[in-house]
Amino acid sequence: MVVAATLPALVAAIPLGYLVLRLSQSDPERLIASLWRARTLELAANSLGLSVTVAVGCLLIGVPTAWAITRLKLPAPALWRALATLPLAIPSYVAAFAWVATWPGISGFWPTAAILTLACAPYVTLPVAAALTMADSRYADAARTLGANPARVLLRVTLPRIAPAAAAGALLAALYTLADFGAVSLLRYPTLTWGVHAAFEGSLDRVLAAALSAVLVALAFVFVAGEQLMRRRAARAVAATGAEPTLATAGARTRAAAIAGLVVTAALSIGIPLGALVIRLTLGVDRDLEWPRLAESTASTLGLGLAGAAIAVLLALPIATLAARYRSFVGGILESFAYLGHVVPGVVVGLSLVFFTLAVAPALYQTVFALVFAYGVLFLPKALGSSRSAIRNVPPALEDAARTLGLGRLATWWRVTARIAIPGIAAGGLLAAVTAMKELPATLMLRPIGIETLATELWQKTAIAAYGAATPYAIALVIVASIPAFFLARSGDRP
Amino acid sequence: MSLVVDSLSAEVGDGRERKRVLHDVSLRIETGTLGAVLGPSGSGKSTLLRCIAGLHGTVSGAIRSGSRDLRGLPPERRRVGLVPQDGALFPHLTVGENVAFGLSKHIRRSRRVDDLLELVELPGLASRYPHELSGGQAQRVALARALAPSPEVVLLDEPFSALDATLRAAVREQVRRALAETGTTAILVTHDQTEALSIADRLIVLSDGRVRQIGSPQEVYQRPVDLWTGQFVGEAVVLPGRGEGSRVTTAIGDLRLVDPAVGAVTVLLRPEQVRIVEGPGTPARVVSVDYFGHDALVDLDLVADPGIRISARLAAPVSLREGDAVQIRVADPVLAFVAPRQDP
Amino acid sequence: MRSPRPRFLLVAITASLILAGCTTSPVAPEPDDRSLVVYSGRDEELVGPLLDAFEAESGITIKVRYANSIEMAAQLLEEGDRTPAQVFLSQEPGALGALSAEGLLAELPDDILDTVDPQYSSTDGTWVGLTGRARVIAYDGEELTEDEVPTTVFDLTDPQWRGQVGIAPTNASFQSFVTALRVLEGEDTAEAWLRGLVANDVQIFPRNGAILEAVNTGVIDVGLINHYYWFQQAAEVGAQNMRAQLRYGEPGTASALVNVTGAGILTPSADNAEALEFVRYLLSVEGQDYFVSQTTEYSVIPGGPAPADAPALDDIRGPELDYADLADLDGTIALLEKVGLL
Repeated sequence: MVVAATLPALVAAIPLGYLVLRLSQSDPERLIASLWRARTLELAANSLGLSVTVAVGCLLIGVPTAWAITRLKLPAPALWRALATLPLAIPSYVAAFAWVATWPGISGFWPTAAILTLACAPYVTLPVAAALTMADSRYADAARTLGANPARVLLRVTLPRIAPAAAAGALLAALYTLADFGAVSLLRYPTLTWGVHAAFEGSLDRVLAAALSAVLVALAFVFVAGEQLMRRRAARAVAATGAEPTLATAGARTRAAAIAGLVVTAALSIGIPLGALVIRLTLGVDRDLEWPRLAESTASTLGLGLAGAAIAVLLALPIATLAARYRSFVGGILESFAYLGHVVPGVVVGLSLVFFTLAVAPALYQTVFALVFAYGVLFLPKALGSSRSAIRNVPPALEDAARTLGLGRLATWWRVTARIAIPGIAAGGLLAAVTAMKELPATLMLRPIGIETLATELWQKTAIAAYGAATPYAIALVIVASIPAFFLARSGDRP
Repeated sequence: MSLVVDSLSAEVGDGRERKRVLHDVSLRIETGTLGAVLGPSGSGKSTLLRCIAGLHGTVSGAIRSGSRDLRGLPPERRRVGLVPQDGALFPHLTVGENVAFGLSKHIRRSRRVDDLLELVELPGLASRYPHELSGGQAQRVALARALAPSPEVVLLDEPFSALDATLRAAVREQVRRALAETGTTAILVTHDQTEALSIADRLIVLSDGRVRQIGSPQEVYQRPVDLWTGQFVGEAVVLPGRGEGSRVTTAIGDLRLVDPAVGAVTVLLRPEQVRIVEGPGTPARVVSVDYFGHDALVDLDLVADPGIRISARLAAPVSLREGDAVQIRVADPVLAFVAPRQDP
Repeated sequence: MRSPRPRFLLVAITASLILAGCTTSPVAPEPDDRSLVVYSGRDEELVGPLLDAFEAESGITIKVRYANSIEMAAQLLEEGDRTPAQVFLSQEPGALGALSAEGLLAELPDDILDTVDPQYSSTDGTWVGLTGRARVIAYDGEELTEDEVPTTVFDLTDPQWRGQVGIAPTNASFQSFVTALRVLEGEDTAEAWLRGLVANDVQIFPRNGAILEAVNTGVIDVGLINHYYWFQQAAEVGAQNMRAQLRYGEPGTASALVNVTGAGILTPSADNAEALEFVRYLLSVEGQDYFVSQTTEYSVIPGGPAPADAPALDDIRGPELDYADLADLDGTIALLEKVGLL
């Protein structure tokens, strides 16, 4: 098992390996000089502050949202779930662009944190909603009979049980924020990612870029370790599933307040970006939309995204199985590797894959295979979390039974574990697909000549300030990414 | 096939938390019979089953099915079936598909599945899903599933613990019949001594990872090897006494011993040995009456020595009430164990 | 609960892989097919039509990938000798310089180098300038009249402009401009100016386009950009709808710097006939006409065409400067880091 998981973890660590290689080739004095200056510290502090704020913000939005959509009898439940998922389909750079276009001049820490929070909240909402759906109501019932009021039950019983899911979601949000470049640069808040890009843009300073990336990875390591610690403590609690969750018989006032909250969140995270795009579209003049080009890039976005997600899932499954079934030191390390590669800035990931492909399989360089593989590497962590919890929720007794019925380890995994965990695994894959469709830096470097995705088209248009021309591509991207997001929302419906 | 476990030792946990849970366990279950492993929770019974199934590694010792050495074989090649605690039916498969799970493709198409469902007295449920079954039905499907590939040995891990009392007896009987009909060697693990005594051909008493006693249910009940086993298997009345060879002096009189003993001993007898008599006996007072319908368990305090609590099993009808004064006498012989030494 | 989902998933995945494969399936080149791989750091909107015209005229098939010049240069550095690219078109001389320093660019033949005004090409002949773009001050036409806007960047440290000036310090054009300042006015003056900007609460933007957008929406009063961004945006929304207006720098000073875009041939393709033909075409009258008329850039050929709407290159009159002197990017980066802009 460890062997089976090591390979994908190594694959996921390609960007890290590249970073280490570049750092080892650099002059140590120059390296220290690059690192040890006030600016690095300032950038690191900015990155840290922003990530923590966004993670907390996502918890503050995501947990109540998840509670409202799973525990309250709201009218049109599918609608609320879809609205809570849909922000995933909007790239943060598109959202940031829309806000800046609507309210020119917004910039700095709080707007950046707010926009990223709105964009990342589904990372918390989805796993917490799933945990709430699975959570056994018996515990809550027992607490009520022991004299706890609903608020106390929420605080003492329900929240601790969903804490691991919430922490996993907050981790994804924090990592996303650490690695984000589009939104921070549009909203002009300098972070480490911004510094890495600046190092490249200015002087192709690969040493400074690698050094700053290393600081970024160190920050990510702190987050990942914190989440693992939290999960370990939570794992001691007894895991039980099975009973149907009770729908809180909340009063009309509570439900009205919940609906109001959901509507406001949706308006801010979906309404404003989409509205701004549509307004831009109607303002654009003298531009013929190239329909075939739009259709072609839409198709390749969809195809590449799904194929990349499939690879991500394939790579994630052995690690997820190891992490879910065998709680060990090695498992933790392998899992961390998978996450850490995730925060390396896109440019560095792109370069590392250029390096890797040319070194290992030059014939595949800039083919669709290399690009799909890159997506797999990049979005493995997205597939990992939900696969891991899904696999952990499969009772080991089922696997034991299958083994005694004559099935080998692999066959058991395929015919029992995977079949039961498939909703969670699929959810991970869909999340990877949504993200892959929005990916830009690696796509720019690795896509075959002549292939454009919606993201690269969007980049080309916005780079020359042709915002009107960019808008149809932005809208198409949101629509395409909504497809997996929609299935993701539906996948949460059944327990 | 007969199942032989020889000097088996096993551990759980990793690294520093490593702990030995089975110490030199040896046992033998003859072909086509049912062995029951009885022990309190934490005694290592489930680990023993998992070792036999190949789901848990062993430190030393051998496991043989007939002439086949099972050591080192992965679970899927042991031909050892398992009925897990709550049945563990695959939730994504129907009852029929669950039963057919361990069968090869061409057997799956034969009547085998239907036959097995008939065997466990659940015909016609093949298209149901596990969540549509009752607890007893799920257990029997799990048994059918385990029996489907014709294993040499079937292991049952606390199979009836989740069932209510009345259902339990019925399901237990159905399981015993199904096992007998297929002639499968079986081991059942339980902490319920009534269940163990009623179902087993052979009883294995386990505590702290060690075998205390092996024997037929009657042997273990009537001739426990030590006080602990005597108290664990079946209801027991325990009181101090002084052995004088083949007899023992106690607060309820001078009693005949099964095995001779000398000096301070602990005397063990069964509630059904205690009689309420009209004539001369030891005076006692009724403390409580537990009425079961067919019989009743009466707790008594000796009038002369209120510290000693005696239980008597009396056939119905019982007209005793709390506080009644009675005379009791014990039907010999009784068991005596050298009293655990008191630390100064 | 039971469903054929796993199988469905497999089918979907396979299908998407095939779909992804189909959209690409590279057409195997016929042996006598002439083709060329171009890495373009210049945007498709700007150079695409020109490449199409070249294809039509020469019969050479061009495979082009577009990306940011600097990231593309980083990619080329990573690819080294194994690069599939034959020609690199760069938005900035810095990217070309970095490749040249690593020996990745081949020396160009004299006939190509001689076509271009030597001040716009590299001294070692590994790349040539293609077009020029003037540094300008974009200003908010609703808030300011042209006369109120300074023609020298040094005035922008005046408290009057506090919090109202936009720059893009990570942008190569801005960095070239700072290098020019250092060369022309001396290190101390350049540093004092940058510190003055920082003290004056200068607004940092990721790139020129964002600065123009900010000026156009009235967020800031003035911003330092390249002239052609304005023309690009004007082409999209109509010149009469542009709130931002341009002020050109004082002729002969650093404020009137003209930056260049350039082209180089990768070392493995040093003698590649198609690559040479392509670069010659870019410098031909036809090629230069295209840039001047379609992207409103300046021709780098002595006596070449001039754009219709923008002031002539001679009127802008950039500072007396050899562009090879702008190679000391490291010094500029160090300075920008020192004053806290990077």
